[in-house]
Amino acid sequence: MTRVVLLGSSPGPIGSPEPYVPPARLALTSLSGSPSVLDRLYGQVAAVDSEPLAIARPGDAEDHRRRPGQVVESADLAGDLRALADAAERADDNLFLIPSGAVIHDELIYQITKAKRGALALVAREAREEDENGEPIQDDVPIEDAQPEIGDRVLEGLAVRARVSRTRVVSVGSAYHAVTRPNAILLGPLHVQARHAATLAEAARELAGMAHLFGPEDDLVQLLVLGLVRRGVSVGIRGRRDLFFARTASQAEADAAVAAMAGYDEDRARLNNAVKGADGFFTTYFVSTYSRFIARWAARRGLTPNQVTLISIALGVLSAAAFATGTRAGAVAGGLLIYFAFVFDCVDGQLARYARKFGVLGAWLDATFDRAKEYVVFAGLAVGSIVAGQGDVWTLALVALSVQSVRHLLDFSFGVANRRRPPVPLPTLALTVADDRPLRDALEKRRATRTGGVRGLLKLWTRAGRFRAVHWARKMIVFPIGERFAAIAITAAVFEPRVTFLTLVIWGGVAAAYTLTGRLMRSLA
Amino acid sequence: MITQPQAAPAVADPDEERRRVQTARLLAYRDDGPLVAVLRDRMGPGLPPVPAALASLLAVVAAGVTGVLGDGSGPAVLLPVLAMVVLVVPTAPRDHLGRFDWLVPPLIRGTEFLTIILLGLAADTPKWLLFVLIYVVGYHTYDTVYRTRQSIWPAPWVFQAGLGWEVRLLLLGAGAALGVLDWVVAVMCVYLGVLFAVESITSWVRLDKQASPAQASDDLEASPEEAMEQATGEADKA
Repeated sequence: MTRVVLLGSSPGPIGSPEPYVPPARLALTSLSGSPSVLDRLYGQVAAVDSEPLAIARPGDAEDHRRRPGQVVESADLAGDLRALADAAERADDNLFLIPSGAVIHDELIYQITKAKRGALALVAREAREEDENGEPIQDDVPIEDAQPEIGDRVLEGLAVRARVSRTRVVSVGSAYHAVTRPNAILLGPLHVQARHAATLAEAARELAGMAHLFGPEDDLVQLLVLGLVRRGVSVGIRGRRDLFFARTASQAEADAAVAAMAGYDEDRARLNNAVKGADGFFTTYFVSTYSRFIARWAARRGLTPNQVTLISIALGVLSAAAFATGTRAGAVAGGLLIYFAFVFDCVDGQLARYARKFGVLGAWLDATFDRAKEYVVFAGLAVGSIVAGQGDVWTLALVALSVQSVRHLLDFSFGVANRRRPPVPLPTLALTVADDRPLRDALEKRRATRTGGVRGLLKLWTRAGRFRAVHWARKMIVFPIGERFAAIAITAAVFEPRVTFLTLVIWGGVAAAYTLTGRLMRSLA
Repeated sequence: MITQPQAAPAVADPDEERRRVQTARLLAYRDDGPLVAVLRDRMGPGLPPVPAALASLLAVVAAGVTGVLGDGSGPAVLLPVLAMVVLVVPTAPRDHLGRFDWLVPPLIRGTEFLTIILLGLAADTPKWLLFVLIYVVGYHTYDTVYRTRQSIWPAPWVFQAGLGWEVRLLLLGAGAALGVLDWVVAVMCVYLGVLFAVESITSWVRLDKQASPAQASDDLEASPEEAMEQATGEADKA
């Protein structure tokens, strides 16, 4: 369960000539039924929380009372923060905060509320300044010597007062808190998992006590993230990517938002999100490029993920049977069949994520029969080799099976041990401290202690992943499932089973040596 | 004995709790059986797991290379089995909290598979039968991993009835010594195959009916590094 909190008190866009209009009176005219912004948002969050909590100014409270859920009236920023602290204290669920003037895609709400991060904020980065050649302009002063500043630039009506790194919010400021090189705004939606709710409540209460220090341009969510970051909570970031979000506070903005949103393909974004991000090279370029469309087709035909898994299993068994014939035609057919068995294996997961049909049994079926498919093909190949008179390769099949099983177990065991290690805490800094230099110094120190010796080497290797060639080579060397199925399909169709098994054993051995080296070093570090 | 982590009283410290659960999983991956259950508390402090498991792997490799297994019958075939049992059973009482102890389950499983292959090849057991046996044992390991990942622990009796790596190897060694390895492998394939398949399928189906839907993100195959990065945002590639 997730508790939704609608924030009815966002500041109007900075510098907007138009007067603030509450979202209940902003009509989304070109949508069917011409709902108000508030109607639409209430309808959307109902899928997450049927009784959302609204924190509203007294003048707007009546708009919220006519809709489901509770309403807390608050006259000012301090009241907002206190109301939020109360809500966070009471909640034993995850919290999802969103400004009540938000115009947002359903899919974006879904993706943010399903994130694994302990806290996740939707952000927009400032575009980097570029010179006439399109090269980013380097600052004259290196960041180590930069002065923290009270951000005065404005982006999308919000003050640029946050600094984000590649993965998280590093520092946030306010009219009182200075930030080194602010580069982003916090758009508003914020998801906080239950384990950080108490911290959020504490932070909100402390911020309420210093509300007189903040300016009218300081946004509620910006302040909350400031409180979280100063308390050492890792707040993850994500951009809008291929989805739409905007705050609206006037009819002109609402009209613009609807017009802009019409240019997005929400279904396509949902489909793209159904494809796992971290797949290997072969899967990414030779399967995922089109498997998502099979997934969408299957969803529209009403196929369940488990039915697709069964198709994949059937293809795998057919492939093994084709290999077992020991003929060239059988080998080619087997190669094609195993390739499509793998395609449908990807489709079932994508279908489950796209159609949001997850089952315990489905996850198990998928994982278990992935293994079964691969190993039944080994058996088919070994039989085929004998039938074709190409020799007894069962011993190689035994070795290939053992190597693959043990390699998997190496992954699993290391994963378990890795999870035992307590995370290295982020530095904290009292909210009373006005500039973020101590935070920066502490982060620098944290980085330094984590970059000595073996760690430095590992860090360097991690950084090398920025180069595409290194990134993909590193993914291929570990011989993930896509590469394995491709290697089987190609070598079996073109050569003979012996070559297939030798490929599997040698590539698998290299992969094991590579991952073991990295993990042994990591255990040492 | 595998202790079921979710049965424990609530622990205040989440780090401590996480360490306990993950260590229980690591111990479950070892797949110790009834012999270890009997001896665990009678072996004192035990042997350090990684060196002992490595030594046993080397001993089995040496047995394979030197050809002491001969034609796969007679008391000599018990050598690799006994070497592994003597070296690795005493590692069971250890807490497995060492920084390299994640190597132990794959070392045990690898040595077990290697021993099965060497014994079977020496005794000329049909290789497809060996293939089935390794697949069945592997299936049980995968199933343990997938189940503990969803916090659905296999009942302790499954590990006992599954005989554990040590009793499986002792039975295979005895069968080979007496010249009946084919039969032992065949019976073991059928027995373990039925046991693991029926037990696992019935529990998953039961669970599917009563459980809340799995999480969107429950990816049973994500690599450990990727899972970590998703949860913490810290890239940590090996």
